[in-house]
Amino acid sequence: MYKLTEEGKRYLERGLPEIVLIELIGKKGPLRIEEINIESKNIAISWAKKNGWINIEQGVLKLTPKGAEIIETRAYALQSALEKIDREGTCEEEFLKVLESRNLIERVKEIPDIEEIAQLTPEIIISGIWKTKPFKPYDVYAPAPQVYPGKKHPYAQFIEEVKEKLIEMGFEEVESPLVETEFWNFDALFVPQDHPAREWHDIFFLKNPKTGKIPENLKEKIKLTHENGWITGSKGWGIWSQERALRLILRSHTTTASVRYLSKFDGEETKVFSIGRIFRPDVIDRTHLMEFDQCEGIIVGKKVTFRHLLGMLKEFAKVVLGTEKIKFIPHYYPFTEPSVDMAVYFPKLKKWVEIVGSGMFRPEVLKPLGIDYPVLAWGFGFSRLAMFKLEIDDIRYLFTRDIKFLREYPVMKCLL
Amino acid sequence: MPVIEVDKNDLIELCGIPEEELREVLTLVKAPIDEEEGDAWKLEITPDRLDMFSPEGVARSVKGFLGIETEVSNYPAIDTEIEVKVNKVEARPYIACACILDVKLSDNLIKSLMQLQEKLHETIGRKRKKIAIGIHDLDKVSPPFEYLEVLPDEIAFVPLGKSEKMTLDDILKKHEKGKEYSFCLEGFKKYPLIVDKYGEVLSFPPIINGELTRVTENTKNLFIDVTGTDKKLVEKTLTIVATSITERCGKIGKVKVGNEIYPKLLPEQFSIKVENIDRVLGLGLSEHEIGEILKRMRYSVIELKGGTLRVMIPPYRVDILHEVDIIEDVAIGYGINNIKPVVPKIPVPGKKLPKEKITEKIREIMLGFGFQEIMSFILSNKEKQYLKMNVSEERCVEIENPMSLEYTTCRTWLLPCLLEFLSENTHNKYPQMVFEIGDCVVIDEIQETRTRDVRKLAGAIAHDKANLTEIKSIVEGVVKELGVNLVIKQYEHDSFIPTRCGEIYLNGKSCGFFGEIHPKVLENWKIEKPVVAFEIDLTEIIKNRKTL
Repeated sequence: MYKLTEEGKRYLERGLPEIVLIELIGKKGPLRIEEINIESKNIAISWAKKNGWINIEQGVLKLTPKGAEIIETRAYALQSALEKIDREGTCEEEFLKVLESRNLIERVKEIPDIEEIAQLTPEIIISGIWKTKPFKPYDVYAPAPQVYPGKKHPYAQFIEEVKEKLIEMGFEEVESPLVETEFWNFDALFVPQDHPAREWHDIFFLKNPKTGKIPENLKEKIKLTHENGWITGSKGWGIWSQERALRLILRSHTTTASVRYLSKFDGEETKVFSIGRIFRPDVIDRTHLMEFDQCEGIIVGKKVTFRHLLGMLKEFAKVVLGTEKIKFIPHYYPFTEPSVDMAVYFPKLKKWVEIVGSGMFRPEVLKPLGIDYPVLAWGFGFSRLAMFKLEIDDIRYLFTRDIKFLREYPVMKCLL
Repeated sequence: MPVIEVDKNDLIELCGIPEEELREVLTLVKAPIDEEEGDAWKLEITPDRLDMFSPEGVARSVKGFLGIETEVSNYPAIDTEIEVKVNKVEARPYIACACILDVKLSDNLIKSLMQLQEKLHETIGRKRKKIAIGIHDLDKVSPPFEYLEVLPDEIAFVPLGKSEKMTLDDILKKHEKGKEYSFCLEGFKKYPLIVDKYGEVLSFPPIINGELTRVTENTKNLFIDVTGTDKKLVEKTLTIVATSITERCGKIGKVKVGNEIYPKLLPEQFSIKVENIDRVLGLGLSEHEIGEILKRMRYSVIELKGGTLRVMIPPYRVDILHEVDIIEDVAIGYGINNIKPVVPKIPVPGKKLPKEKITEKIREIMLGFGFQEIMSFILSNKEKQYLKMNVSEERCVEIENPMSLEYTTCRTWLLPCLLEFLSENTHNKYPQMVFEIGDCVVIDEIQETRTRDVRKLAGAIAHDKANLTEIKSIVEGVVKELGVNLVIKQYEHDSFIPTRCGEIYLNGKSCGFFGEIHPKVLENWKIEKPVVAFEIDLTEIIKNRKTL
């Protein structure tokens, strides 16, 4: 089977160029080469000459008797062959060769004489053979090779999900550096310099670089607050040394992001949050890592009270955790007072889990930063919540190096 | 969080309420049950409430909370003739002492006392450096006592649990407690000692007591010493221990120590305005209501004119620094779960950091190319970061007190994390295409923290025919989506095969590289498939899109 090429189709419509040429000479008489103005002029001349239809003498083209006769009888055999191929897909052998050599036709692949259709191919579709042959029955139960989509890490998905929820609640995201001075990590939060949480077993200290810088405008106020309470109405802790304040550590909580934000507070009521990596010297096991993530945030409002703090927690449970089964438990944090934990009932675990810590920042934290409004603060062990939600019983899987686990963990399981 | 162990039945008896009620109340007074095993309950005590490190202290709060026994207790205290002469002791300048007379040392009381002592040492005592407590059988020694400092080899005595006399020096070097706590005396030429009228040693604080004054179930009268470096805390600690015991039995015998009479039982006073309480809690409570609540929280309260309360703080409380600490107790006494929550209405729009938005977009591009996302630790070590990658060491953040050799630095680039990942998956199906977007920490002297967090993107492909063209297509594909101008230049990087590595310039700045990982590096990671990879510092991209 053959079909016309683009060029072939054009000549089918307008006539082969050599025919166009001799008909022109037949009408106008002999012509000089330069007087001829037709499509594919060179091809026309060369084929007309080859067929013995014209002579060329001193640049002038004349019809031969054979040429004149052809015009007379309109015996255009090749043109007819072209038409036949267009109609029937084939023609006499001798013309097929010529037309194929002139790239006017091309062979259509033969459809093998098939009994039934296995793999569907373009030929089968084009030829229409599918209309007459049956499809070979396939077995949908036959095993298919496994392929893996490119996927987000389940934990990264979880982080995004929580972020979306917090943004829905009107919180703006803020950040703070991974390496911190003790000043921002502790002093600004009124954690006494000899507090056990500031010891070697709870904090990663840096060997290089060892010390950082602290803002002069805050240094004096925070120093005095620690030493004697300054003007905060507090007794203070009785101790503070600059040496400790300058020490660089890997941050041990993301509350630093809130405090740093508050130090640049512009006086407008606001809600901010941050999610970030924190570090604690722990032996790695099923429930402990040396680095994990924390999510925390604050609400700064002219007239917010402890009741609003509880209201915020309640809403948080509803929006982020999808539960209204909560209870509040009094707690202690060095930088908030009153402090309260929220426990949430996990039906799958059949138990109450204290998941969110919160409180109102102490005046010893706020006054030195120049904040006159109450500040509600909350935070939760993000990695721990992720374990519950992602149903992972070993925290190490949050940072797994097992590609099989990641490939096989279903995306839908990450939905909050 | 400090955990104390109590005998369930003992606590029930001390509180005088049924078990079910007790279980519930414990959570409400900052002493929830953490674990239980038969009759042994482990209570989690918040570290501010040192006075609740004993079942007696817990019972005191529970009884107050339920209104069984309210206000500051009147502890029975009598004067004694006992005196302690105080000399200058450089290592631990402060000492406070008291007696508890007519005690019945039941098993429960002995256990409770030992636990209270231990928990106070661990927390406020800062491992005995700041505070140390000694408890003695008063009748084994003869007052007056003396607190003094002596040379390490000047005196020998039989330490608790031993039968031979040892010098102070020997105790520090050979005795297990001596070795454990010798750091408290480091740098001092003379050591503290408490002796009786005949020079018999009661205690070598903060290390160990003498065997002589060992407390047994037959002990009738106790002598307590607290020594330390902070006068106020020494006094408070003594009060905590003395009042805790007296909750159960005995009466306090006052002791003259230097010029002071101990223990100090007079409540501290605090004036607090009702409006301040309301501003914090928003409960609209009257003076009278607040007064009643505070009485249940074991304060004594006098209502004054003008909406002010005079509050007497129980002498054993060390956590009241500010009026907010009393306000919290009002909330606890009111019952936190009785407070009606109000959702704060602050109409501000939520917003994501531009950096995070960009990260999410880039993550999508990588997923579109079929890469699996991975997440690694920021903590790493020099071997993984540089040695195994065949590159020279960079300046990086180093930890002074690492927990293991595995994690001693912060990563400065991501590619080692990807190779480590691939190295642990050589038995899994190929091709493996993985990427990570995460923070690295680099040294930057001009910053306040002398470091800077840098967000980076890295991707790696491992399979039999991974090659330069493949990774170049990915790099070009990613960068095209970022809307920045990309120029690639020939690059030499020791992690990659020579001539098969390109440097990535984004908007004219060098931001990363890509290429075929050198077999030497693959060998270091024990990876047997060709790996091609790229890494891009996203700082420029984020900076250009700050206004996003």
